[in-house]
Amino acid sequence: MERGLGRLKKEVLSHWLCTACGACAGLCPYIVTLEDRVAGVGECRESDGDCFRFCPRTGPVEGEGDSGLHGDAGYGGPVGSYESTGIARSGRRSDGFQYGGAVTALMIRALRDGVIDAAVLTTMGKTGPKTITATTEEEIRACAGSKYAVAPTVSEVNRVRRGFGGRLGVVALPCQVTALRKISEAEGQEASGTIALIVGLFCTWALTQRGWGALLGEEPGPDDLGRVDIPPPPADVMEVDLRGERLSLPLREVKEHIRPACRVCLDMTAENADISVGTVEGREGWSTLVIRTKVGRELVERAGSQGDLEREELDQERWRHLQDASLGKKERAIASAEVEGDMEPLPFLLAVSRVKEQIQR
Amino acid sequence: MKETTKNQVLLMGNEALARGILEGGASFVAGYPGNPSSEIIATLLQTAADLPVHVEWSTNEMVAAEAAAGASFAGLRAAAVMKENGVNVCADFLATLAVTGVRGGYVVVVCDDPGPLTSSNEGDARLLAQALEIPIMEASTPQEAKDMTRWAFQVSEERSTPVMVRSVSRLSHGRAGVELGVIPEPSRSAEFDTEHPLLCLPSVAAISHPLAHDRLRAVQKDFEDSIFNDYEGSDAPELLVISSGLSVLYAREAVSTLGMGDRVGIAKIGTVWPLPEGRLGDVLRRSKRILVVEQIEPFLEEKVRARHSDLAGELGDRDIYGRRSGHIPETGDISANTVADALAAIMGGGRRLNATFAEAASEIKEDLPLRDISFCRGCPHRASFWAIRTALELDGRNGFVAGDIGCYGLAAGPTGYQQIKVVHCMGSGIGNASGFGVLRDMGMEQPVVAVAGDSTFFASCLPGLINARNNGADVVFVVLDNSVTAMTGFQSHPGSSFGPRGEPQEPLRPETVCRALGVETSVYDPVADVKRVSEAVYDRLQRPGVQALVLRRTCSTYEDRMRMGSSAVAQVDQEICVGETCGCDRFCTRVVGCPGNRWDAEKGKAYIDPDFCNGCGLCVELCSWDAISLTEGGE
Repeated sequence: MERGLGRLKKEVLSHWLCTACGACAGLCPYIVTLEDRVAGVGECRESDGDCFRFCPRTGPVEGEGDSGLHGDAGYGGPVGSYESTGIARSGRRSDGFQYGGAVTALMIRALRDGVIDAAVLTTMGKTGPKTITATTEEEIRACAGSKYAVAPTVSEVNRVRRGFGGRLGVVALPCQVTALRKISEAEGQEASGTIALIVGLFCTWALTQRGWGALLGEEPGPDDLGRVDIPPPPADVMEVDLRGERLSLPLREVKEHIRPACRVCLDMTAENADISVGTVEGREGWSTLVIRTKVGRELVERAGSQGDLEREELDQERWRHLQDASLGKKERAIASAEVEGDMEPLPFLLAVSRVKEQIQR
Repeated sequence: MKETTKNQVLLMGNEALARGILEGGASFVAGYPGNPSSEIIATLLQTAADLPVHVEWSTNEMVAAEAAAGASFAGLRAAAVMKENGVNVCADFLATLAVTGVRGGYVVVVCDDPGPLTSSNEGDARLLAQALEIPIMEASTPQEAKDMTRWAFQVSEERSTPVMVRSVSRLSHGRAGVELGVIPEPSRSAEFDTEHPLLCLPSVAAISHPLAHDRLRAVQKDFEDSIFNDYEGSDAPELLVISSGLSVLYAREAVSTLGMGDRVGIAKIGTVWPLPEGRLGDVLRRSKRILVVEQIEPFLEEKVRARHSDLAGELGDRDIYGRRSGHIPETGDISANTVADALAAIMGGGRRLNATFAEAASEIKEDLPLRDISFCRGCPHRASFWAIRTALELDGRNGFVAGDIGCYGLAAGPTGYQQIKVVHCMGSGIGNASGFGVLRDMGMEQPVVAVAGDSTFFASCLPGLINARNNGADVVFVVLDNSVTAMTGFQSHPGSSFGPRGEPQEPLRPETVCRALGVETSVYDPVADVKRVSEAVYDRLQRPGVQALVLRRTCSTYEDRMRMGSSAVAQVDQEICVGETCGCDRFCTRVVGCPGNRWDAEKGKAYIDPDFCNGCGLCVELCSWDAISLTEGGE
């Protein structure tokens, strides 16, 4: 069975299923990215391509057993597997940081300790989110803040891996995290440009870049966008600090610009990351941490002991709420996939539908 | 012009037509390039440089016809030169010119393209001429092309009507010895008689139209005695071939080679419309069986049938063969073999003269490599269509390109990545797009890109572009500006930096015109900026209204001819090239498709054939492994 670009186009790229994570791009001349778009241009004859292997949306590959991955790639409980949880905030508070600044603190710690040699991060470019490779603490700090739209981050990882011998840390959304984990497992730790650290961000959905620009009246420039927040119901708005002004956008209008691919996403908490980071409701300035691997645990512990992070326990109520929210996203995705899968029986949609049975078990 | 005998020179049909224009005393000649007619103006630009004749490449055929008429109205002899499609372009004007009539002799030289060999369709100028009510003659040989053109000016001026002269591709491009005549000394000064205006207005036309018919009757009378109508054969042959133009030579060759000279007579008709009916009646009396041989449409055949009907009482039954009877194929070019086949079918015992080209080609087909028709080496259109393709794929709404008929029309095929999905005539792409672009309320979700060449932009795109803008069509309009009229032989146009004789010229830029029309326009080099162009096209596809891009880079083949191209040559670092593995799969040699990119099957690596590389740098830009670089002067 072919597992190349032709099939990737047929099953993912030509549909609304593509998350624009960029996993298939930056590997060859056939797949191009622009803003938050990814497209296959030209016919490649490779029948077992990295593009197909790394895509988080190709569904289970025939002939291969359970990948061991969770999130979009398999069910591992409401938030996937984890070692421990907690909440944290940056030990050195800076107003530019979204929520707790924990991600920035962790990446800087990882760079200082030599866990990574460079960090692949997303910043606001001229026309929307843009992925860059940071090698200094200042560059890492400049990328703080949520973006609410996506950039093909993993294509930058692919590009950097090729010409860079060191270890990379990546801050990524759940779909991107799944792709990064696929790549790191396929390439192993011996390959050049090793993916040494994956910090995942909680994500309910992302907006299209052009839609985000349209909502804000014009596309936000690098320094235009401040804090973005969706207060808990019944507010029903998205609050945006744009060029010093606070905009209150009706959530209904905002949701019209959600990337279609997000509708069938099973993964809220970046289940394949080393550490997943998200908001803590009712605790302004704090981030939830879900620590999933040894790499993640050791980094968080060092950041704590070095004073980069102030840490507390995640209380049971919030933990239950997080699991409910994550499961809620899965259930919404399954419902969408069942409807869409009836019309277009794409392998990924069928795989998402099957998660229903696993949840029920 | 090469001399053959003392009195003859060897001339291409188009050169003979050019000479006929000069011998006819024309002071003004205008045309628009288009095969098979292009060499006529080109010859005049070269040979008449020192004569008191104004020769120009006009912006399009309509303007050429109108400008030449201006000279005729001022009392000078004038010619408009074009391919058949050009008559369609200027038909509106010619139809009214036939009503008002002309002053100085006015001749439209039109070259049809049976087949068609290099045209978008195979129109027949004779049908147009009749519809426009303009007399038309058809030449059989270069000698006749010259002499007939000269005579056409005389008929036109004497009868105050425009006259057309028809050639076809194989006459225009064939060569034969031609006896030259005298080019008259200029004796007229231009002046328009304002006391006698030429007005085609409703009230006036009602009076003028019958007068135009009177003029046609007078021309028909001239045609009865024309030396361009002839008969060869016995008085009462078994079969009579009626033929015109180049087909006469095919008929002669077939009859002579089959040894049927005693049995088959050939009536040659040079003055095809208005047909000299007395002469035709005489011809019809010669034989019970008639084969009509002509090129493209059954024009003469219909006339013969009509004339036979007129004379049915006198003539009785006649068997009339031709396209309608199936003895001549209904469409496409013909040859002496076509006539021989028809003769064999009618007379029996015939044979083919020789293997046709198609038969010969099919015999050696096995040994021929498969080759797609391709853009030239380093052609900037290749880069432009790669960028457009990339943008349309990124856009993801199944967008497409509406194009027209320059070199870039090849983008309907593999060399342009099959991006063009609609091709008709000059300027039709932007016109079609202005329709596609307003269908959003009717369910159309696909975006449309219109493309046009730079010469086409000036010739035929402005009304379409204005229409798109005025009606709020969503269109990305891309002008593929290679700075010459490339496809027809590198003629200058208003956007070229050189004039018709190669002299420096201040170019009028397409972006200047677009912006003046209120269309936002950006300019890029399609090769050096190939990635930026795809970003720009994608960006414009997301915006409402008409957006223009001018992609400017000089035609690579023109650069070669003028020896003005880059001396750089690309080189592949085979250490870096990943060849057929995942990550490339022969992208430059298999997908990009420039003839300079070659594949070394033994090594499994790409290389550059320096003889086919003009150093444009497209493969350098597109190789995602940075394995290709430019080296000054090559190695």
